Amino acid sequence: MKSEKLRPYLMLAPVLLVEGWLIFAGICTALKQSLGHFPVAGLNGYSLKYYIAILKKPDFLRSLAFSFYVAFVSSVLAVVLGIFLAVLLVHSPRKENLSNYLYRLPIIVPHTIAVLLVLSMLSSSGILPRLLYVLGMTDAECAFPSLVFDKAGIGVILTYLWKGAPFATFMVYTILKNINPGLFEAALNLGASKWKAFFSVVLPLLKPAIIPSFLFLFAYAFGSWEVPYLIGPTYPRTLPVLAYTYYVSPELSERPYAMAVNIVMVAVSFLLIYIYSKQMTRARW
Amino acid sequence: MERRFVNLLLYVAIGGILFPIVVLMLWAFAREWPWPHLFPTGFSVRGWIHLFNPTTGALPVLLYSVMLSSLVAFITVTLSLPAARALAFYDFRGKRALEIFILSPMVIPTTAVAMGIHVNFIRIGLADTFWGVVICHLLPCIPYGIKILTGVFEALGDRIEQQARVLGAGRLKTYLYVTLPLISPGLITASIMAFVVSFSQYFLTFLIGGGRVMTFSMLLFPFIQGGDRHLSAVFSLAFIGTVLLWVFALEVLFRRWVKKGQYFYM
Amino acid sequence: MAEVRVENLSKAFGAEKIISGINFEVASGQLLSLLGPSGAGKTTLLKIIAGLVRPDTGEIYFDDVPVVKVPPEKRGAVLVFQDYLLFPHMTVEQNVAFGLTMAGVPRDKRSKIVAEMLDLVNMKGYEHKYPYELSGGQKQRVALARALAVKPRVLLLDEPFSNLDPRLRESMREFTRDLQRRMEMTTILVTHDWEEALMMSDRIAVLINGSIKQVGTPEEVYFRPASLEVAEFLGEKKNYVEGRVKDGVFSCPLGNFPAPQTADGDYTALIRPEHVKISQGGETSDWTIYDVRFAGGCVYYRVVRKDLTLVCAANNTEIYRQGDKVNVSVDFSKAMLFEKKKNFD
Repeated sequence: MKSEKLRPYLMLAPVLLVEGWLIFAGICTALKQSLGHFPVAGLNGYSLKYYIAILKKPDFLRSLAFSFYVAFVSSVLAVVLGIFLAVLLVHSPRKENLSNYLYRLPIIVPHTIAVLLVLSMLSSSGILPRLLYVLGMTDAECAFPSLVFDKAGIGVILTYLWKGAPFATFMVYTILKNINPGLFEAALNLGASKWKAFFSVVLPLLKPAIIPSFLFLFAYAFGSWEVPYLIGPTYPRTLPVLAYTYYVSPELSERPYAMAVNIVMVAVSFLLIYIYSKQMTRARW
Repeated sequence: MERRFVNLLLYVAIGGILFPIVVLMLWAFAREWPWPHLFPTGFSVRGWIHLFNPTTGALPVLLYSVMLSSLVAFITVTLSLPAARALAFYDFRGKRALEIFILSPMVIPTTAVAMGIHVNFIRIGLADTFWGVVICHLLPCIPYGIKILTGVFEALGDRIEQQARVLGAGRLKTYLYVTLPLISPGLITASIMAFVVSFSQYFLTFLIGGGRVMTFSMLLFPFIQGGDRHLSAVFSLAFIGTVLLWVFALEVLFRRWVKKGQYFYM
Repeated sequence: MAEVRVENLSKAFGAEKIISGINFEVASGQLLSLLGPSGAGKTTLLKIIAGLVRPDTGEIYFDDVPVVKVPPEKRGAVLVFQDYLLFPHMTVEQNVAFGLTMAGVPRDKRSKIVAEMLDLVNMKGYEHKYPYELSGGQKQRVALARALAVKPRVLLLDEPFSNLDPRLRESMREFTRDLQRRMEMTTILVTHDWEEALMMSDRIAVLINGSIKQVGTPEEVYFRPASLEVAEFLGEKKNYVEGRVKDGVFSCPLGNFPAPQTADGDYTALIRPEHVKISQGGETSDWTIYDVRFAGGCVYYRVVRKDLTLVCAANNTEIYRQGDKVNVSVDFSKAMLFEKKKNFD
């Protein structure tokens, strides 16, 4: 009886140990150093001064806002595009054809290569400016507005979009293809217009795909270092790039700032997890 | 909606997704591609020679990288199997909280915890080592393994195992002869995701491996950063090709182990 | 074949009591039905007997040997699930051989038994088919063969016919009952279908709300239900007439009837439709046909009088129309009297 009750915990134990170790090692160390406990650099004792210091830095605040902006815009666009593509796929007469596999290709392509793809399209020597020039819409290489390394983060956003939209499509499609088409027809039959039927019947049913996709994409875009490092503007930097800059600084005294930024990112992710768990408990039909 | 219109939109969208990869392929064989030409003006295999040339050491890094990520995928799936089964079949105190904790690395930025892990690994001597990199790769990989396998176990249900038990199969035999063959498509998917996540990992490898543990992602990164379009295109294609080849090899391997006709879910 | 005895079984999942205080016996070679509405705990009980669920209290005996601590794979109580659960990755032959393979039966003996079993269930020639290539009835027969191949001490059937279409269901019932009798296989059948239970069982145990309300032969359970609850559950249409017993006489709006050995008090009489007879009436008749339901072999009528409505099942030799005046006679010797419970509906 006892062993039967313990069994699930034993089955989860290896995963919990590995993850628990890494997460706690990661967060606790970061927390300690961010509070100024860093004996190697001669820093002892705990205080909140590094948090207060970064909160006063315009650099940090710009980075925070920029990270939010990039993550929010890219994941909203990815989810909207994902829903659109999923609807197209479901309505496509041949459902299990090649396009169903092709669109998923970006899922296995790493973000660094996605950056390269966006560069080869949009940088000043990319395909798009060439096309515009050939079509006579711009007249020189430099006339094309810079869409990469730009302050509006268009390059970064497009990279996340290219990676994220197929992911969202996949998530939405999995649920959409299992929704009884009769529901949509019933709504039409009850007098809803096509758009109304979609927004009031289909879209709510897709919530279990939309919310997790959005949260996941947001979290990734918010916390990933590679993309903004490679294709983002030098100012403002996203939080991960900012943290990294402090971290690799030869001045060890910069380290607590890096860790404080990390802890801010972790706090944001905890918020996302909280939203996710709330959502999970509610959407159980 | 008109069917043809739907298909047209679909092809445009998929074309839009795939077009950059076509451009990448052109770059991979371009000697020069001056502005404002729409096609490269010269053909070259310089990058491919660089990739295959034994003196550059690119191929050994690729193999090493494949091995490392395969190991990560294997460990991920091995650890995730019992955990996913527990989450799918058992009801127990604290299940929701544990599930959220286990999936949390999907949302917690690796960048943010990586630096803390790095400091910790330096202390215990795992930094700059092969095993250090393997272990830290587990963090972003395990949630995928658990998520996919939990779904598979839920779809399978626990009654088919019960059926095997009452017919006289013990726990182990049930697992070997019934459960594993039936979830093999899910095992493949989970392995692929874990492999891809590990193979793509740059920041973690770079930070924890400290440049001593050289993966293919780390070879590729400076090319993209440095702006050599030709070389980065070649290495990117090699990267994608390796992943596809690995996926294909895995499918073949599994199909051999699990005989024909075993791919049918109920 | 084993005699099965279940003593005082109880099981709760958390605070929710599934079954409590279950006692019954199945004689060797007989078929007992566990009959009850859905949610009565029938499947849990079956799983406990199979060893898939541990009971909180109680013991199960196969031939007087306690088996609660015996794991399912060693117990020899084979469960056939409602949806058959053939292993989708194995052929028919491999499925039927599964239990034998697990028991380490040598190959030649194994294939002999498999051939025998497939012959028994008329599935010869399907050896190399996969489950997805079979129809529902065929899957069911393979599932039966697979269960019988291991020579179980007890066969447990969980709603085995509910996934079949009505015509196939009828023939599979006959087939299964026939096979069970021929092999003298001790069997426990779980069903929510009272007709199925009546037709197939040697004995029936009625399970309602997690406890057994009555055990008896089909006739006993049908004609002499132990309580109104049990009576409610058996038979589709019923008449309830309220009345009072005084000095061995039951008086109700239908008249006075002898009720010997019945204590005085308020009672509800349950009258089955087949015990209400109607005949051609005249202008003076009290009863009028309110509606007619033609069911082929018999005809259901609702007949009304000022104060009463009765359901009646008549044969199809003469068919009345709505509004016809009829005479009604009730065979009260077949009626069942239950003490009236407050708030029973």
